[in-house]
Amino acid sequence: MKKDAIEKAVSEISDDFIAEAAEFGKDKRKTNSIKQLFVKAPLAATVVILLLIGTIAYTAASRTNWSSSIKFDDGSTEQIVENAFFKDIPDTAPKNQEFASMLQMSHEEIEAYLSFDILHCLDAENDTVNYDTSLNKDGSIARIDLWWPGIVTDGTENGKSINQYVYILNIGAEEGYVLAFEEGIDAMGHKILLDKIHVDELDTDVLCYTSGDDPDRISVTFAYDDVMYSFTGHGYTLDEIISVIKELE
Amino acid sequence: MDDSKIIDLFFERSEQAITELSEKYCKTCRKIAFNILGSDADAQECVNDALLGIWNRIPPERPCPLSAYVYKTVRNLALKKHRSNTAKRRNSRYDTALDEIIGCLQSDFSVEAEISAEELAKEINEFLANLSDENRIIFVKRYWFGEEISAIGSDMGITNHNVTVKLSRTRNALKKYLSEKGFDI
Repeated sequence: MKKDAIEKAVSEISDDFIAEAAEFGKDKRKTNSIKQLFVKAPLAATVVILLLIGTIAYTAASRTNWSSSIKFDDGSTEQIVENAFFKDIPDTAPKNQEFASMLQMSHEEIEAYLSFDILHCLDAENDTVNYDTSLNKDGSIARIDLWWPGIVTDGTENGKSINQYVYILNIGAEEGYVLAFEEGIDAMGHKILLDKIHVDELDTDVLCYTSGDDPDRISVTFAYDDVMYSFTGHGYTLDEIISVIKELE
Repeated sequence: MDDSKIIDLFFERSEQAITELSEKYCKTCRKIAFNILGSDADAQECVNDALLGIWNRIPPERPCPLSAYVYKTVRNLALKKHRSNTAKRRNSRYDTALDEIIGCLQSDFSVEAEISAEELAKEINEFLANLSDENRIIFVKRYWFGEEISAIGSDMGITNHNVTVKLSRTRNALKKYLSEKGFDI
């Protein structure tokens, strides 16, 4: 318990002290070119930011649906879902603050809080799901991200695993959160489309692609019941990942 | 690239944002993750996951300073992964550093409620605010970033022995400070 307290307290060291310590070594090795950029950029950046905020505020109230797509390295864009609805997340669902550790719960606990089902692998090798919220300015939940690592592993030290990610938009999510969904939830670059498959068991199309610089990293992304899912396999073949998805309940 | 420009790229949903962010911060991010996880592969995956998380949160968030936001995201993810395979990774640099600082609390200290840990964090921040810049940077590099003594010595331009002595004195001062604040019940 003592270790947990110290660990948590150290994790909360001030942002300013962290930035100060991180920059110190860099200052020695690099010139002050970053400072020069800081002098030039603020005005232009502020104008852009204000325009963006204005646009976001203007359109935020009118949303009833959302969509999502992925842009690939060859310039093509594939739609994952269009006209999906927002989920109605109960006010009683847990929230965690920015920078705080994700909450950890079992799959069943999360479903109980959310009052709707989350696709899951019946044979998941662990039932510890990381739960993270993003909040609107008024403190209500805009979005929930779930990260369920290692639902499948090969049980060895070589790091083969399949991780499950779940993204949920709540009714009333501010426009910025909706935009993030619309323009792609996968931040990794170098995305190459491998296949687009219809999974009969879920009656939905799934996009299969590699991303990042790791060719062994294969992602399969789709929407089901207005919830976004992404399964990322490390060291597993696409067929193996798809077979896991077919068994989801 | 200036942090504000990187954030602008995130708001424009340009993947260049990830490239620029990686170029500027990923080296330190990998180091933070590696210090905790002790594995290059795990550290890289952790950084990838952090980039994904940051892409998802900006917009609407507009963190300042961006560096601390990025580093904290990586560190939180690394700690979660670390906890999930603690048995395998027990000897990471992070554990070594954590063991050092645990001595700053009396052996019978316990935290029964979240608020106690928050108060402890507040007191540690106050303590750090009153340290000299050099001692504070050394402390944060060691216990937040989990850096090796030799790396800190190199960054600070002082000997390893000097780093060790400074850390020891700071830990003793912290122990005394926390004791005065009632954290030795």
